[in-house]
Amino acid sequence: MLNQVFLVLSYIFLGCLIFSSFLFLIFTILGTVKLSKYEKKITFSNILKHEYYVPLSIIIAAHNDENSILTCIESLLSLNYKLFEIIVVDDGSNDETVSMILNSFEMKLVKRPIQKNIQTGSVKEIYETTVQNIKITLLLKNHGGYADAYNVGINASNYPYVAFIKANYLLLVDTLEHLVRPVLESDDVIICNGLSSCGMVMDDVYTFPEHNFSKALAFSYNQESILKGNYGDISSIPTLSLFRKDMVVSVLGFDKGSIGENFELERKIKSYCYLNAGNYIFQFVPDALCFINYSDRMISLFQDRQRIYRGLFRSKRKYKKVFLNPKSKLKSFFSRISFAFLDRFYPYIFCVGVIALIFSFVNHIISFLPFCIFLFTYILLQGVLSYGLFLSQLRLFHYHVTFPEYLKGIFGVFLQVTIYRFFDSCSKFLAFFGF
Amino acid sequence: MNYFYVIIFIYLSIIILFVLFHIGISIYGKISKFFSLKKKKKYKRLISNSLFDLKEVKYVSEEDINFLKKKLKRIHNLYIFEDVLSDFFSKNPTLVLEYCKNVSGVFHYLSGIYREKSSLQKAYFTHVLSLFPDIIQDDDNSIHYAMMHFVFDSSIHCRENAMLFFYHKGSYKQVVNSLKKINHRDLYYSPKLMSDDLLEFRGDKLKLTSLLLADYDDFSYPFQIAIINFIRLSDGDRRKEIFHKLLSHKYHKEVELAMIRYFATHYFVDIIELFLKILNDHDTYNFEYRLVTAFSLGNYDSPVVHQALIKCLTDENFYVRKNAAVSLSQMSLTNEEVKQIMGLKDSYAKEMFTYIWPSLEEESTGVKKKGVEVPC
Repeated sequence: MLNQVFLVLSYIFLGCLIFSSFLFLIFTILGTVKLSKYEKKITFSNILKHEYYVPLSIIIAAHNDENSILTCIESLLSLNYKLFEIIVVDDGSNDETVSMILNSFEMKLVKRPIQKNIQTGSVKEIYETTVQNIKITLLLKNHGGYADAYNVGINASNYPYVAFIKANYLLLVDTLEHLVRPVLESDDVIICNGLSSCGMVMDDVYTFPEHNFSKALAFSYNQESILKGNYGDISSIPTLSLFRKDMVVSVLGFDKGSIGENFELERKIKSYCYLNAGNYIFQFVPDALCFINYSDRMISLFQDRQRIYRGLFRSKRKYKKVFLNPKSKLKSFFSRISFAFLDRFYPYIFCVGVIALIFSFVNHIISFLPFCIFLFTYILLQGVLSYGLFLSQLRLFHYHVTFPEYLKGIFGVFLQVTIYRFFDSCSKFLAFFGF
Repeated sequence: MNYFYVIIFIYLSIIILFVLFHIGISIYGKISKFFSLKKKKKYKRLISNSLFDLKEVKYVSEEDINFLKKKLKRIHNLYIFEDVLSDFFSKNPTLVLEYCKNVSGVFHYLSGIYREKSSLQKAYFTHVLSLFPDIIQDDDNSIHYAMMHFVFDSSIHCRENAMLFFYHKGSYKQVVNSLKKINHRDLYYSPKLMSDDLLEFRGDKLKLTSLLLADYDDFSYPFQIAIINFIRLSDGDRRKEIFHKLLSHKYHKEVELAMIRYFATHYFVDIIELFLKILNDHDTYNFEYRLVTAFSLGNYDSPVVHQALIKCLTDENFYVRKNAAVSLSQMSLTNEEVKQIMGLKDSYAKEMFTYIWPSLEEESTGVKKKGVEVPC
């Protein structure tokens, strides 16, 4: 009887593996086709190339980010796009984050009244300066979480569009220009999402991050951004997103107690739009690239993934209607259902399935060798799909990769489809119980 | 177990196909690049010879024109042609403009071809024309008629590029007619984009302004806003006309706000009375009118304006107070007025004013003229 149960569980697990692999295959092909169409659009000037678009506020929530905050601000100051302000909200750091910003940019204390469109914790001090005609505002508050910090930033912003980032985000010189462009194509554009990755680009040559797990992350983020972004689905990774401020204020910003990730606000806004009818456009911009860099400590990466999944489950439960929105097109609806299945159930099936398989092997219910060959080809397929999508993205940007980096990439993609997926599934599993 | 092997076989086939696909794409990219470079050299030779012919015999050979008619039907060839022509333009713009006039027949022919193609290709074709508007002769009405087809395309990029062609050409009639027809067909044209594109008009902007204002009431409100913004940014002096339109009170709220903003940079003494009325009459004019008016009054330095703005420092709306403080900081206030502000019981008012004018707390008797730019 027990043998039968484990055999069935093993076959369910294998069935899920096969289903997920074909799902990724279909969406990878469709994602690659969409990227190549977008590339053609850019090549043949099917874009609204403009000197200046709309002014926007970039809000950085910082908490004990002394290692990365200055690099982040300096990368923003070197952007081609010049019509924006930077708002740094320090969320009760107890390291040198604040003093580094104050000293580097010679900021002055001001008594600036702020309109509280959204209720937040109180702001202790406000500093301002202007560097290269870009206004930088630093707001100090007590520790209240990223969500509260972003809401403070929304209250302090002067411009009609806002983008939320963290101190470990690095934008390329033309990222903002690409991200803002869809706003001029229609008044109904509310959210523009960019593409996330890890690594660095210098003189059009891409290099992978040093840390091995970050190499795996580069592929994972790239895959999720493209596969979900192209079909209007909400990804569960940190992204660079641009929001129309009046819509953010209408939904009262980030929920209190949420983790302060863009996908939460996106889901909240989509839920609001679904209930209130009207025409709204959520645009994915594949060439608005943002690099997210993580520390080398695996434990902090593990904790961060758990935090993100907790936020994801919370926002999915709170804003269920987004999931079954009948207004979405058939492809997005199908994509949403598929990814919901993978996000929600796959980790449990994975964990139970692995145990069932081990039991099945030990009791000679399933032959070891055919299964190993199957597993090997499954891993190879996933790796080829992931690497292929990554190469499509590099083609879009006309980036080159040196041969040693290609080899690093192969190692990275192998890590992504094996150890990282397992690690990510465990994060999801634990996050569900924490949630 | 047979199913395992079937799945394994399918997986292996997909892997091989994918790997071959990416290798194929990579090889195709390299081959394309090689042939593109070869074509680029060919087009460079062709255009170089044509430019030489132009210098010597003042016309481009029929053979070259037929070659262009045949080849530029394909968008990839058009792309290479545009690239090469842009290179030559950067070195010798006058001769290239002369060349464009000589090959206008080619583009007249191509406009008919590209009209039937996809929106992406149409948008690129109109983009090339917008870069070299002299390709089309002024008196060529048939091509202007053909371009109107591109103006009404479903693709916003095609419409934008077609409009840019008219702006760069400096064609008054075509610009006004196109805008009217886009407006009439309810096609989307961002007001910001429109006002910025109008600034790229290469003809007489004052004449264009007159033509647009002549039919102003025929446009819907987003177009009306864009026209006012264009007049404001191009330093068009239409103060009396816009003042009368504002007084008529028959336009959309956003249009009236754009008109009020116009007077921020175009001083007009007659508008002061209306501005003061807007600031005082809370029943007729809501906070949006007050905040834009408070901002626009920054250039109207007079005692009666000072008092109106000081009163605005106690307005219930945060942004009205902010704009009033900004405007006051640009004016020469007397000691009594400064004392009046610092003596206000409303802490929000003082807070806003001292934020804009930080030295005021230390110099409560000082009088300074200081300009601070804050967006509305």
